[in-house]
Amino acid sequence: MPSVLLQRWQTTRVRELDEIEEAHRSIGGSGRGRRYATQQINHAYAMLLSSQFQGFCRDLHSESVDYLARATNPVELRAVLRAEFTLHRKLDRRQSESWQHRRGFQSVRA
Amino acid sequence: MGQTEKRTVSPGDVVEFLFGTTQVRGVVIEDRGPLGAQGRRLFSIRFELDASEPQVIEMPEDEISLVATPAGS
Repeated sequence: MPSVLLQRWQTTRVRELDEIEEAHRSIGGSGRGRRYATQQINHAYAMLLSSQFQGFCRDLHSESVDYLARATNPVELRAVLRAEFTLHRKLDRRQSESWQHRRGFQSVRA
Repeated sequence: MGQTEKRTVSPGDVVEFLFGTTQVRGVVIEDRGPLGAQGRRLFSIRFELDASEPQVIEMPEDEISLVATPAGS
């Protein structure tokens, strides 16, 4: 079964990125030369790409934790395991840095 | 007469789940969508074990039970 979050990336997230790319193209055109009018759109695009990627990583972490917890016995330990993996997860809260992405996935790495 | 539909959980609902050997209650704060194993829906739930700082946990829909919904919903 294909990953839901991969499907979400390939549909919803890509579509949102395409929209700002289209806005960039409609203002700046596609000819040669520097585009001064699109400076702010460039900044917005960078922020949007960063937020979409962070959302993707958050979804991936959630999916990974669920697979691990589901395979855990006894059943009484599952929620405790879930809480431990997601406690103070930086991906939930603020603009993350690359080391936070790495740290978030270290605990679920097999 | 049709069958009664099972109400799905929504943000704001109070739910119950097993945490260790204790049944705890919490409030759903986010529907994360079908991210779980085999596409099951996950929910972010804020709960308190005791008088300590509230925690947030992500639980699949088949491991929680609906206790109450917000008034007026």
